[in-house]
Amino acid sequence: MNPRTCKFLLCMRIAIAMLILICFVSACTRQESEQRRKFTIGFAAMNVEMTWMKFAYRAMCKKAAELDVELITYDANNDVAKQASNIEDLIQRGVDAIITDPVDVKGLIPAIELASQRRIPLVTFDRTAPGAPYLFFVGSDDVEAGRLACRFLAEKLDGKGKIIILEGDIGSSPAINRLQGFYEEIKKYPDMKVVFKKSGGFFREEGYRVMEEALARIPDFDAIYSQNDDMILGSLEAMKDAGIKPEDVLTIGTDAIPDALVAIREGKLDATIQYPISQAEIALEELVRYMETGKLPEWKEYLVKPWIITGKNISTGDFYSVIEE
Amino acid sequence: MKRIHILTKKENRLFLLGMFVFLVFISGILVTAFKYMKLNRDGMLHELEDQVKVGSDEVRFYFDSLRSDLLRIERYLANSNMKVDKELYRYLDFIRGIYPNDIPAILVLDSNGNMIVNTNPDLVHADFRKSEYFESIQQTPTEVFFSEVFILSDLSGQHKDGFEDFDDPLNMGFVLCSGVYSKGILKGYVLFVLRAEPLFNRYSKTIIRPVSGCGFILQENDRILYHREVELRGKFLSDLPASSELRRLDYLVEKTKKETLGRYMVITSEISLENQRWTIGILTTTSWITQKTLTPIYILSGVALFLGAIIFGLVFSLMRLDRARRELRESEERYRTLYSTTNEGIALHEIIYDKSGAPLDYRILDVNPAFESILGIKKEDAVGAIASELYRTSESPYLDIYAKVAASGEDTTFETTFDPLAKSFKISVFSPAKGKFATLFSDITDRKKSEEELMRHREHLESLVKERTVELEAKNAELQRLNRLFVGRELRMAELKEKLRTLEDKIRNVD
Repeated sequence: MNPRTCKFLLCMRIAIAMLILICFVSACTRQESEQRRKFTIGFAAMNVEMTWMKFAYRAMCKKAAELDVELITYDANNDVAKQASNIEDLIQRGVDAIITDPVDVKGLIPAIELASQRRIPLVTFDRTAPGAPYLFFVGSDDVEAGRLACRFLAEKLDGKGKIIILEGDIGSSPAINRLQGFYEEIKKYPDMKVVFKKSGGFFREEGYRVMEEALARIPDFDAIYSQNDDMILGSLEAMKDAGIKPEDVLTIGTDAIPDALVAIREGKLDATIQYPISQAEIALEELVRYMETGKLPEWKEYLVKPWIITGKNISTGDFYSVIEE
Repeated sequence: MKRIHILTKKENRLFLLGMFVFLVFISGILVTAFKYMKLNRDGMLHELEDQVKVGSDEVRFYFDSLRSDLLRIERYLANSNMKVDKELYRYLDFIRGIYPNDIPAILVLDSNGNMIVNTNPDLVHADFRKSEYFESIQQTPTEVFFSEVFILSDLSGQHKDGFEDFDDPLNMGFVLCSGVYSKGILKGYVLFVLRAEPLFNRYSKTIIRPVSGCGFILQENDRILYHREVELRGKFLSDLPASSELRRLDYLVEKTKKETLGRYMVITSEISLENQRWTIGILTTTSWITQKTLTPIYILSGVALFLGAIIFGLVFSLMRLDRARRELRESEERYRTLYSTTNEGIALHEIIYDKSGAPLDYRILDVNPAFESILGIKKEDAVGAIASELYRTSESPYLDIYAKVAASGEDTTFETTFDPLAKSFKISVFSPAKGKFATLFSDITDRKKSEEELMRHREHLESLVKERTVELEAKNAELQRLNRLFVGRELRMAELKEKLRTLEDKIRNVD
């Protein structure tokens, strides 16, 4: 073969090799760039100090790490104006999506509308804001939780007794819906009466203070229904300080936080209603799926069914593993 | 084509005056607004500083009350020589009742760090001697000691490494402790295990309302104890990304109490808690401050523009009014001249009605000079006079026509001869207002006379024409008779000639 032809063929081979190499590198780079970028999701939290919300936050952090998304949490300290301002600040910060649990059913609507106008996907969990343009809501069936609590008390009291209700944060959807369910069910038991009802704002300290007031005003009662566990645990402390044995009073809380499970195990609390923590995880998971695929879930509202936890089925509680540690 | 208005000198002066007043007014408003804006900004910053101080006082008050409870227990234990009895437990329960969610545990340790009292069953097996804060207590046992923040689950100090990780910002806590001394000898320690959140939230709630951004609490070692962004809690400023504006926070809070940090405004206050110094502050956006301080500018600008529009509106209204008055005056002048110099008589009247509303008479209200010359009635006599009296007639002249015009407003024109004056007139009538009418009349007596003369001539000519026509008709009839006569004769002659010709032919034939 002509040496010049050999040289030419060599050059051609090198050129083809280079071309293949360039194509390969380019393909790899493209593949890498086509990988999903890390989403930043803002969580406009209602109040992370609340025990259930603390666990919901932790569950969400865990899920965010699992889904490889960055979570930025702004705490509103149970103040709806602050929560609205937090959502606005998250929008300004340029987050890809927002997840929130509205303090109030109405107060957050303008902020949610703003997110909608800026085309930032926003979903709610735990609490909803009817009329607001959120993508979807994941929560628990609070009306059913109220019914379950009333049914439990009626069963234990044979349909006759005086009940104290520790109401949650007035204006919040769980407080409204749980109360609605409770009152719907109590109509079936004419001998069961609500003798005292006051808001403890879902806080343990407030539960303690409201119970102190209830004890001063209503010395004769049979049961306590609390719309969350923090308040019922506060009321147990108040009864203990007033010299009343918590074991002598029928008590039921809501949320099934670890402290409540411990109280059930110790016999201080009769029951609690599991307010599923999975709703936070489902909300985040579905939001990320929507951002990746652009497809909304078939449902607009997803309600996880609550159930009653007593000493007999304590192991079914979401946080049973925590107290076992 | 639209008429173009050119400003007169007076209007121009008025316009310039209006502009000057407007500019002075706007300048005044803006100067006031800027002054007010500055005052407002200063006032707002003072308010924010006050909020920070109130928040600091809240934290200090909370801390002091805890400290005071801690020292009461310390005194009790010191006086009872570390005796653990029901009274002590009752007292501990009382304190936990005051802070039901804030103190997860109250502990009493002996001088070697062994646990004597523990209110939290989860800590039964905890060994505090290994903990970092217990080492610190031992170094300064004579004072109340406030520990570094740590994860509550690491309370026993078994996981010192976890302290640095700080992966659970909602599980932060402190230990407030004091050595128990009896007769100068260290007998043990009393410890309050505190949750951090209730402490911080007390601060947060006091500053939460007025601020767009958030409050923060920074430890002396640049650890962020509290921030709205939960993930930042427990982190050191140096842990933040290099791009974060918050990294400069420590520099600023040391340098000044009020400073701008990028898009943030930082207002701080220092608070001493036993062995620690915290910086408590508000971090708000400069855009929020600007927005708030610009509010009076917006309001005053709106007011200024509104009042400015009113001023200009007034100026233009005055100019238009002035122009309208001038035009009216000129128009009146023109009509006045026309009124005075016209050859036609003009008179304004009003109808006098009887009780049933039927027209009875009319009164002359005004007349022009031509009225006097045409009718020979002086203006002084005419104005105010009743028509029937003025014209000395049993009925007011043409009352029915005039009343109809005054009632309907429809103009009319007619010609008439007014016998009392032996004059003829062409009268145009119109109504300037209900119940009033004006007459515009001209003397057409001469024209009427000419017309009558002409009529007479025409009639005379017509009679002459008629006479001549009769004569002509008679002559024409005579001519027709003669014609008929001559024609008959001719025809007879022709007949005779024919007969002669026939006879001649017969004769010839015979021949």
